[in-house]
Amino acid sequence: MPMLPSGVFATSYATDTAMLRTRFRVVVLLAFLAFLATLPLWAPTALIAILLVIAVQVIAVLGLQITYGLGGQINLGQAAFGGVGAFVAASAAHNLSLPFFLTIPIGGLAGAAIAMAFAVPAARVKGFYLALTTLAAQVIFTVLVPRLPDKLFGGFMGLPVTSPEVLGFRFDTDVAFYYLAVFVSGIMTVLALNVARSRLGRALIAIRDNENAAGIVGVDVFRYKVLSFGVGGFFAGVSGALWLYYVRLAAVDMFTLAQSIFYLAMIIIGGVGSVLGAILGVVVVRGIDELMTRYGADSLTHLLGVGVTSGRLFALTLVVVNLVFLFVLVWEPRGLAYRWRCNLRDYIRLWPYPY
Amino acid sequence: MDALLQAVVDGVLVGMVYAVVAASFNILYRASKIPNIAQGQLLLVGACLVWTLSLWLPIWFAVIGAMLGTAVIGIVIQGLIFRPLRGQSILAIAAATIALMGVLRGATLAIWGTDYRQFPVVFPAELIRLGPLVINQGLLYASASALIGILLATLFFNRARLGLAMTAVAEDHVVAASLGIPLNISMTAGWVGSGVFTVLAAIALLNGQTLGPSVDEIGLRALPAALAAGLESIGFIPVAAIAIGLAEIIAQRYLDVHVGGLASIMVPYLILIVIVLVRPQGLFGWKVIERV
Repeated sequence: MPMLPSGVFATSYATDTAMLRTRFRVVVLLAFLAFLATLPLWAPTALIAILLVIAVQVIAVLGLQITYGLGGQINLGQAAFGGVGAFVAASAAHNLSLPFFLTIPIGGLAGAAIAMAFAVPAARVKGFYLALTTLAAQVIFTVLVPRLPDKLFGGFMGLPVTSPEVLGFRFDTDVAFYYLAVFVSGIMTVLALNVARSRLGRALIAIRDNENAAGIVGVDVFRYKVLSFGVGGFFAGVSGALWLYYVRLAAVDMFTLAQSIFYLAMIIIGGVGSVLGAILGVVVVRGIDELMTRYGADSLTHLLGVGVTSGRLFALTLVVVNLVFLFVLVWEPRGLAYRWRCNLRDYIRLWPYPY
Repeated sequence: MDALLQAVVDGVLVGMVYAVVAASFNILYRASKIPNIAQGQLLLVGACLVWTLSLWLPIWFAVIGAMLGTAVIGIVIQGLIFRPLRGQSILAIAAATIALMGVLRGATLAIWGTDYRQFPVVFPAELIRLGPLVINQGLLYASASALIGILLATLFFNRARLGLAMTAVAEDHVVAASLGIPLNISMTAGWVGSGVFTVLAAIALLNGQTLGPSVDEIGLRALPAALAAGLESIGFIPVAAIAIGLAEIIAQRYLDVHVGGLASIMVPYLILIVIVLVRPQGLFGWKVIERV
């Protein structure tokens, strides 16, 4: 549990429930926002493209953080729920020509609906069985969607959309889309922070810690379990729809089981149950992925003396990310966020005193 | 009539393939309480080992070598990942098997690449004609050896002293450990038994056919069979698996034409959802009663 520094007392309910309880945090947040806003002015475009992907994936991982981190419900279909959001948003944009600020929430709602539908059988059971129905959701998604009517969902070719546009401004460059992604990501982060401290979040934590005990003290276990998938699916859908507008084509191969596993790896590596953990996890996993794609081929060729194909490189990325996943799971189960909060941050705060 | 009879024969044989994969899954679970979602990826590794070894060795030595290799991989996995996770929540253990899925698949693709290969012929692969029926001979032998293996495993877990002790591990790690059952040995034994069955499953699935990078899908397709029998049950796997195989073949013969090949792909997953919805402990699994 993160502690406040001594001397910080809440004197009213307003300060007790405030998200930013010290002036220092307000300053840090503003500095961070200013940093994000000015980044495109000096950073290389390649870095902006990476950060944009991070911003989009953070949304999906925040959703998984609510389902898995708060509620303790394994979800192996987060990528598929994101895919549902992307395809429904694409369909809405393509067939009804709705603007992006409507299709993205619609995509989110679609993701929520499908996630809840698959959670209904899962909500009666726990642990491993849950993983199974979401796994089925993931497989059914990749098999079923390309075979749905071409007119609605594009079939095997996928469904193209145009770049988002608002008041004549088109988000068609990486830098412009970076601002859009960070903006949406910021809204969703605030939403996720609030879910964690709402009635829903507290009920989910109770269910995670002991389902039977939660039921006995009056938490409607079934309802909140399904709801946790609904909220998680909404985040996934928004993330998928946003991603759709970046790549401008809804295609099944962006929402695979491997991506779902990556999302889970991000949660475990970052820290289960914390919003900061979700963000750290995405940064670490994306970082590994980018480093492997950028430098992996050259250094491996140098090391082994033989050329490394892109397929092999992807396979190696899969191995490295999942080994980190396993390492954190076994040796550091509370993830990076815990290390930051309870060791590094307190160390910095208390320095030069040991405690 | 002949078509229906042929569908039944094919369904039983497909079901038996699922049965062997499901057996490798349940044997591990029964000895260690690890629901190994990565069983299909382990099968991919085992199949690649058989293929590689068969390049240099006579086929039966290759099979035995692959069984040893898969068992060793299982022992390493147990020692590095699941030994430290003993007594942890099912959530952590399931997450570890999910990560294992990525590690095994990635490692296989990195070592063997994404090429398609001709899997060696272990059992004679010629088709037998029995009147109007066509029977895949290799699958018949594989099914027979699988049935013998499943029978032996059932006897071991239900009759032998050691097997009954290992069954306690599947019930509860902490309780089993406090009763003096060596958890790590039991879990390691589970990996070894599961590894042997995995190679048998690879042979049943691939005998004389094409070994490609998407072979690991069978791990997910066979899960409903493991679940329908109940994760703790080994002896009833063939019954559940054959039922699912029949459902799949009937969907393939009579529904696929209407929905563009979708029905037979989806049937196992739909059955899985129905099982979780209606009877999550399976037909013959343990119904766990929990107290606060």
